[in-house]
Amino acid sequence: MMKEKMLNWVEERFDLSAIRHLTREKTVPVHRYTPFYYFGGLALFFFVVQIVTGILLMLYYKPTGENAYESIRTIMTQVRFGWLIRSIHVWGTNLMMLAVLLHTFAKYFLKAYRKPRELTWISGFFLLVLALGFSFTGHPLPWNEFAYFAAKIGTASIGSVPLVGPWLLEAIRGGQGVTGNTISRLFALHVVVLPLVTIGLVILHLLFVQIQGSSVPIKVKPVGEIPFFPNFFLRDLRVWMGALIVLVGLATFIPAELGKKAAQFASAPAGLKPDWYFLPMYQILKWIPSTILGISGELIGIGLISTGALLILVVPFLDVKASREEESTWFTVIGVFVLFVFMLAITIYAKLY
Amino acid sequence: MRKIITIILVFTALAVYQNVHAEETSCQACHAKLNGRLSEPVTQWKNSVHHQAGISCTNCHGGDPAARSESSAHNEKTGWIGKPGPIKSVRICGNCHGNELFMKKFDPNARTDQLKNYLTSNHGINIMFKKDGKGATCVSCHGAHDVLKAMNPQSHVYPTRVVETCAKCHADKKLMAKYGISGNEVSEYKKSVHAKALYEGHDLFAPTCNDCHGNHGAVPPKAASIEDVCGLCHALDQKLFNESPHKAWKESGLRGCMECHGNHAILKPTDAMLAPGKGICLKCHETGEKALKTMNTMYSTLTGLKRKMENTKKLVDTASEKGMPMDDALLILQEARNSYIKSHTAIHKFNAAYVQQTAQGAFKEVIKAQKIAHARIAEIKKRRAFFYWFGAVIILLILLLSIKIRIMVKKKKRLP
Repeated sequence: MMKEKMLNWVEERFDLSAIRHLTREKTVPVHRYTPFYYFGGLALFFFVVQIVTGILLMLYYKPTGENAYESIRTIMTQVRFGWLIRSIHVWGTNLMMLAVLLHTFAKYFLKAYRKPRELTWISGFFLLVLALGFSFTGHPLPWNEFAYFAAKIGTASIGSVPLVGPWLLEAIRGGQGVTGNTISRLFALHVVVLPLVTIGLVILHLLFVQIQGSSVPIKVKPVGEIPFFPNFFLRDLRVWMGALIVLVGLATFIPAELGKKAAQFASAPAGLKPDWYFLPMYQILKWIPSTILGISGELIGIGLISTGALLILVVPFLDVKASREEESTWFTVIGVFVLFVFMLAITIYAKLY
Repeated sequence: MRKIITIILVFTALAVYQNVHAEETSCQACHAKLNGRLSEPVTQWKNSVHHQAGISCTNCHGGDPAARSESSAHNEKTGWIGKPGPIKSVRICGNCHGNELFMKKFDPNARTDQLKNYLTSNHGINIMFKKDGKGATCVSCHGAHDVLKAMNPQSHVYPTRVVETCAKCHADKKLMAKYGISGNEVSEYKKSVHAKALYEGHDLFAPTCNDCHGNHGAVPPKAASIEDVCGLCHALDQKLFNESPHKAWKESGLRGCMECHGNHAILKPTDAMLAPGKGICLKCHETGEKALKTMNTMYSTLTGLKRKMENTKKLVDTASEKGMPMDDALLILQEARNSYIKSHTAIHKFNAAYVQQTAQGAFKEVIKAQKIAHARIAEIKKRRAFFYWFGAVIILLILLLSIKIRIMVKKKKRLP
């Protein structure tokens, strides 16, 4: 009774038909690939976890060269549940990247990018880039030895971008070298710029999904459909709760490390490698010689990686067969060997050697 | 025109030849063409500090560097002396190296007391006064032609090479027997903690032969000076030793530090040196003496502290492996370790109460670190217990949700 009264009160002032439509009319097709629909929701769940834990960390974190490391130490040792929040934030990054990559692979192999969902794919691609950007800008913030060299090496590659590289490098570093200024700048990007852009793009991405509904793979006939609310949402919720157990378990049993405070003149610690999701890029740059025919190897590497990324971005326009609802075996084969097997192999190789 | 060019070219070539020839003395020009030991000096000298300083062959050997034939170059009228003998070579070196005004042209801080010191050494006495011709001269250690500054890593007297240089004579048992020296000194030194620091730890300040025996004025330290020699580095040990009941050792004819630690084969001291029934004190003291009671007490204090430190380190490592930040405890343990080292130094006072008092500081630090480690391990258990409860609640919720989903599916199936 009370609920109805409240809804009527809102209804008289705002048109809630779109939300009513979402809750009553939105359905999810049921077929053998339906479980793949969970990955997108899972990535969203981890993103929300990152926002919540990020806000909590911001209450104590101080983004300056002098205080960053000490504030993280305070969070880890003095603040009640600070260790848990930071560890969840650190593990959340890894699990979010995993969910985002699985979501991308699933959508690629199910050819969900085909007409009319090209823009959903493109917005999703940029969300993947933004997720990498979050990691890139967040990793140096604890200002420990590992973070310092990650920032130094990571930002150095920006410098080899043609024309704007040196300017961009100085803009991100806040000077020639990696200093306290770099932390302030990366922090601003990490907590203001990237979240604003990401939230906007997530809304757009979800809007596309909402308008066009879930994609059904080529030549797959759904056996039926289930309402999104509450049926699919409850299933989503169940997956999220499972993910939460994994996340808290990892944070409890393998808490985030604090490391040693960054020292500008110290030598790089042994075995310094980027996070696993940056390993393919790292390995490619490592393999390329320092110069090829007088051109900087780093520049060639960045060029190759950018070309690969561009090809992934324009896949909906390249895969003409899929847009005609025909099987495009070649894209599946390329996907299996280039996107999955090669990336997995290069990641494992880079991790081990 | 062609003729003029040819003449110019011929004269230019001659001028260049003359110029090259003028820089090179006849000593180098001839000896470089010879074989083996007669040509080696040229190469060696070219890389030496003497070549850098412009000191040439004739400065030591005499002769005429501008001569065109061997007979005129090696003419005694031009002061040629050939290969100088031991006494002469010392004097030749001393001529320059004992001349302050000359040496300061090259280095304002150059030493000029080498010859003076050498004459006080056993090497110098044997060569210059006893004239036995067997002692070491300047060239025996520094080389004749390949003389380098002492801190040049290629020099024969560089810290990592000087032991081998001394070993050339001192490892020769037959030669050493004449002087009442065993000839085992070098091999014993190589087993020592000092050699380990030098060769394995690459510590150039680690003592080598010349740090204890002197270099130019090399003498074996007498019983009275051993303690002072060791005290140059081990100052606190020396101070405590002088405060100990052993301070009267000089009168008893004992040789200070050497009595317990040896001389060349000085091994890393361990607690076992104080072990009841086996300790080093038993060398002089007899069962039932008060000194052995002191030894036993010092042993139990030090080994007790060591055990406690090791156990605490294990606890700290356990907490660290489980993800707890333990650098505060590690820092305290490091301080405890420093106090532990001080407790070892305290032994030299041979006063059990003093050792216990010094070790007390370390004990306090270890207990502090132990408390931190216990608290962190308890915190780990608490965190894990929290997770088990949290996990159980979430799993229960997942089960309830699954039941709800199943009911919804069944309801839908029942609908027409």
